[in-house]
Amino acid sequence: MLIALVGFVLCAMRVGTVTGEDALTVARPWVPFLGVDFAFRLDGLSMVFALLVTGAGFFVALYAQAYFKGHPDRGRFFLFFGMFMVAMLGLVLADDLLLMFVFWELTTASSFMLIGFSHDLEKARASARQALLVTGAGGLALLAGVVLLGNAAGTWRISEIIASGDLIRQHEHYIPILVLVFAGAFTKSAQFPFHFWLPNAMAAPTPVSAYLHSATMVKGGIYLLARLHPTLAGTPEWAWTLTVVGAITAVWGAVLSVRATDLKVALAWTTVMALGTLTLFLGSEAQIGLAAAITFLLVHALYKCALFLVVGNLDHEAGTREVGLLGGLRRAMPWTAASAFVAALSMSGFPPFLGFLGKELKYEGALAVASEPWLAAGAAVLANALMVAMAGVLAIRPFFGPKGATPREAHEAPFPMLAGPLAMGALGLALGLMPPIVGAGLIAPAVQAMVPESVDLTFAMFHGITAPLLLSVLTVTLGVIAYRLRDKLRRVIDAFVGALPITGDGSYRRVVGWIADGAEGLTRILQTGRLRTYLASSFAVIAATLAYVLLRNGLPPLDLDASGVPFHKWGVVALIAAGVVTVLLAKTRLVAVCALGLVGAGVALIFVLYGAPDVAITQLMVDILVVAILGLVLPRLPRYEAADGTKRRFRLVDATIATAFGLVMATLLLGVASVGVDREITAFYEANSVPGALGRNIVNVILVDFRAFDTMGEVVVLAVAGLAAWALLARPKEDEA
Amino acid sequence: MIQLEHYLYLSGLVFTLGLCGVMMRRNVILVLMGVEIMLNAANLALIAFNKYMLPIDGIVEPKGQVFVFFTIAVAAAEVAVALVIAVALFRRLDTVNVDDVANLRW
Amino acid sequence: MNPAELFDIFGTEVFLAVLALVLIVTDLLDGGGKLTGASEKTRFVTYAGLGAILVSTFFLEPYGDGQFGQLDSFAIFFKQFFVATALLVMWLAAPYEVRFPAGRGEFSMLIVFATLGMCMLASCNDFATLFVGLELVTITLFMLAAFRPGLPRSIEAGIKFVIIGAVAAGFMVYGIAFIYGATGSFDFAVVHDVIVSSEEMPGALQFGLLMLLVGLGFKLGAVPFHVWIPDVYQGAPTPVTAMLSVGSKATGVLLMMRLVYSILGEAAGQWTALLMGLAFLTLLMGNLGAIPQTDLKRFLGYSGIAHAGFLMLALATGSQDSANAILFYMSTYLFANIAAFLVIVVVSRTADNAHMDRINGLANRSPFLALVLTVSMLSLAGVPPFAGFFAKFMVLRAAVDHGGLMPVVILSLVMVVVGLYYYLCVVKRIYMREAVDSSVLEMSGWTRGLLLLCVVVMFLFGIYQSPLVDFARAGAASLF
Repeated sequence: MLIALVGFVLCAMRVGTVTGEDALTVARPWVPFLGVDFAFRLDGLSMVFALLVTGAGFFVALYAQAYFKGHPDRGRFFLFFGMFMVAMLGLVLADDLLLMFVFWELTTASSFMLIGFSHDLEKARASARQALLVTGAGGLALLAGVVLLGNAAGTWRISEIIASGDLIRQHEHYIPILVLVFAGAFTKSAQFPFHFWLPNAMAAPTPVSAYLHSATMVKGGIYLLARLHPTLAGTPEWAWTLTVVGAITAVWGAVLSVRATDLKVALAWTTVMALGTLTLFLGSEAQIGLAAAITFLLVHALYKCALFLVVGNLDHEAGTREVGLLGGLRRAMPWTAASAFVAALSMSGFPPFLGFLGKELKYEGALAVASEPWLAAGAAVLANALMVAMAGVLAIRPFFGPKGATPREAHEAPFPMLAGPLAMGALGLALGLMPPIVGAGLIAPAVQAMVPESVDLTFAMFHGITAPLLLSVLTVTLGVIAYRLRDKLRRVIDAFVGALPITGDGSYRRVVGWIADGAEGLTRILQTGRLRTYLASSFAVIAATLAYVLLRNGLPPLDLDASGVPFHKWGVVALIAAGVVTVLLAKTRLVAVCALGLVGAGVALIFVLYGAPDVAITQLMVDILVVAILGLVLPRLPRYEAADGTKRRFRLVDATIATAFGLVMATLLLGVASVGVDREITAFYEANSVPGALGRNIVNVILVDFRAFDTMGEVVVLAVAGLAAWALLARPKEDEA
Repeated sequence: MIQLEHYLYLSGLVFTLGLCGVMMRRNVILVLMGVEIMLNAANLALIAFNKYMLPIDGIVEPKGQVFVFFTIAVAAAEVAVALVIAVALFRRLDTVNVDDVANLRW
Repeated sequence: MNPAELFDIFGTEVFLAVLALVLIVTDLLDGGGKLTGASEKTRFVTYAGLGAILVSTFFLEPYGDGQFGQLDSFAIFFKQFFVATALLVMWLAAPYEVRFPAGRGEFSMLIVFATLGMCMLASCNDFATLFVGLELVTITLFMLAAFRPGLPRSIEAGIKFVIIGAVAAGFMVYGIAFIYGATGSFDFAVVHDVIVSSEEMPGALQFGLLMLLVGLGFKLGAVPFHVWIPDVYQGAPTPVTAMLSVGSKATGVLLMMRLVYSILGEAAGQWTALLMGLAFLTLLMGNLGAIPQTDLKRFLGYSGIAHAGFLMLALATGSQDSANAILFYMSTYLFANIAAFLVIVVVSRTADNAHMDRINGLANRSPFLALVLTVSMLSLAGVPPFAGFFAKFMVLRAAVDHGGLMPVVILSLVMVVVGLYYYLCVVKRIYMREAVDSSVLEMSGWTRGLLLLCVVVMFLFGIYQSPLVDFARAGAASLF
């Protein structure tokens, strides 16, 4: 909490001095090899966000002190909360892409801990994981985007990247960069079609929702888009994507908010709507559009945070957040009611609140959106009208009318829990009363950071009768109508949503379930625990790989000419083949062992034929030794494998794979053999690489003289075998666990 | 005349058959024999290649043959170790059938 | 033979061999002429010896190519890596060794022998040395996997390991035979020259290299020879699993790097598609397999396959950046894994298995262990600010630079998300479940020290990577 206050004061002191040109920069080299720096930079845009993070952080921390009074894990909450705040602050201040990404991921990780804070609730855990997976996936996409962007720009410094916007826009990777950055921003800021995680994340304790899901974390994506605006914006792809996605999100969020009966969920949907609106405005290049975005950002944070805290008070004191159960609490909770009212007025955009200013700018900005002004304006009006209705639901329903059947007897919340909503509500009013100060002090520098030209904006409550003003009037009228008809509206929307074949949440569940089931099925099929399956799958892959190489090189001609092979050599071949087949098919062990001996002898014979008598003798000796050892061991082991009919199917599969492998192998060998070994190359390198090796054609000489080291290794191998055999067999039996 | 290719075919045949043995037998000992056959096939190929190397200054260095020494010895060690484990397997689990040893799975 | 050369290149190996002999003698002396294998002295000698050898590796000077091997900065990096791994594994094994009622001394000796084999591989420049060294490592590990012959799962791990390992070795030797056939040499440099100078690789050479690749995949834990990993990791004694997951995997990485960067060299481009395909399958198998696991060691096995997939992805790019990234990756992976396995050793003491239930509610039983395991999981998952994140970042950067790898890069990103999911499932157990076993978790000061070291390393190199990056760069420099 103290951090927040100190940070806020520090930031606030800089207001006004920081403009786009002279930003505050701190940099230390971090990983020089990669050109990654530990750099921070505070300019107008960062300032707005930093103020939000610290300011809201202070009030929410104050609030949480009282909210978690007596909670056993309070310490842990503040640990994660502090961690999150630092990460968020780092995110908006970082001047290095990678550093920014690190903080980005840190906010994700710490928010996971915060959402899952009430971990006894299965729902809290599930939604924490959902939030993490969605934003985590987006984060990784962002990482890829950041890497591409860094490579394209040749630097990781954000301030330098911003300066090289034209370079990036013409870069061949511009589209992938854009897609990846969007993926990161849209998941973080709950844009359609990733909007579903935000309302689910409302399982988090109220201070968390208020802080993360209205004021700060979800604005991370917006910050990213704003930060990269000078670099990436200005193309039709950028403008269209943001306008369309933003508009859909805004309208859809507004519509669903009307449907919700849980006040907190309703607030979450209105947040989705607000985020959609912000995205919509970032799609434009006009200064007024960007100014609208920044103003609305500020407005939204102030009233939404306050409203969340109000709902938290209701929940805490009255025991429910169901809109149907609440009512007539005005007398029991006067201060809560007052702050709700103030915040709601700002939300619905009545003068003289800051909300009005925001809304006017919004319409002005919407009309200035280059790609499709009327789409933007229409979406804005529709969404805003529903906002007015929602403001009514939030500020009027719980506090006026007949007393509701709340589970707990409601009474006013303690002071720390009132300070936040009141202060933020009042701030909305106060800032609304002095538009020029807000404009010059905060908004203009922030816009300045996004557009290179000098900023020329005027902020005033009343501009005369203009299109935006007319739209405002229209909005309020529509809003009031919607409020009156809200129950009907809710039923219509319910029916509509129920009829939708695909929802974001449902798809998410399906995908996750599908992956989990698929993963389990896969391991059950492939990791059966049976050696046979393992070998079969390995061989299948190897056969496929070989076949791939084969096909790439073209099939060799079949050319098998065995004429002219002397008879005795055929004899050897027959001997080996017979031996191998016998080992494969032998019914008793003794036959198999003898046949193995036969194979060894056959191979040794070939060695003799090839003029390698020393090798042949070794082969024979080892062969005899192996047969002897097997002969010694066999009596200690059970007789033989029992015949077993049920496994016939498996054997068939194995045989098929083995045959396939054999075929591929044979074809390949044919290819290898008929292409032949390029002997000339061989001779050339022989001649060049080993000029000194003359007159040493005795294998054993080489063994000790040229391969001495390998021979030592070999001796060690044998020693190890002996040592290990000793350890495993000669010891008394142990651990029967 | 007998060609290098013929030996390679033989070696490939032996290798493949050894592989079949590894896959289709269930007794640990016989599976090991399959592996032995595969290694023999490799030795065959090595010796055959060595035989058909072009001589340099009239001499073919028996590098392939030397390598065969290593494989023979190492294969022997491998078989010894495998046998030790097989014996331990039988002592503890009363089986030498590889299909019976499938408790670690999924 | 030139003794000076032998010593200059293979000094570490000679020291290790001497250490093994000293161990045998100590053990014999202590047991009155029998190998008792249970003495404190042997353990002390192991620690002291490995420590001294580790120090000695920092005085190694690159020597270049010799008759029996080579000593470049790359080899030195891996020798340091292997000796450090051995030391950490022995350190980790200290609280576990009571579970080897007999054969503790042999355990130390076998670890030293395996390290000897690994260091041999670091310096090999010849397929003969490669084969012998690899078999030395593998055969030793076969034995170690089955080192508790009274325990059915240990035996099962041993038998599966030995059979699949022997088959993989068969493939590799067969491949080496064909490489020899095509080039007439076992020498890396000669094979490289033939590959680079031939317009199109001869069929025999392609076949041989492919078989070699498959055989090396066995060590690395890459498709198609990854199948043994989950079973053997689960069944083997925990310190052995740690050795397998770090040391043995690193030998695979090392040899794959020699294969791709040195032997294939400029021709590596022809193999990109193949490596990419294998990386793709490996990533898929490892990450999906890890999701339903309930045994920690088995889980780490699948996670190891997933990491192998990441390393393959880096290998497929074949650039110098990717080589740096791989070495950095391995270093961070070492500490994350050692920490995880040490926690497993401590928590599985009472029940002697590594079921995930054992870490339920660990946060309440021992906040320190909970922190260590959490940091390790997050580092493995690649969450900033831990070292694992930066490793993944470096790999991704190298892969993105390459351009042609986009499909696998995208898959790998999806898989990182999947990874995040299952690593966090473990973290969730630590903090959000009730403990099934509330006995006190005892740790010696040494164990605590090692855990602390791992956490500090993971955190330090997560926020201040430069020293490790420079170290990795120096190691990879000699490959290019």
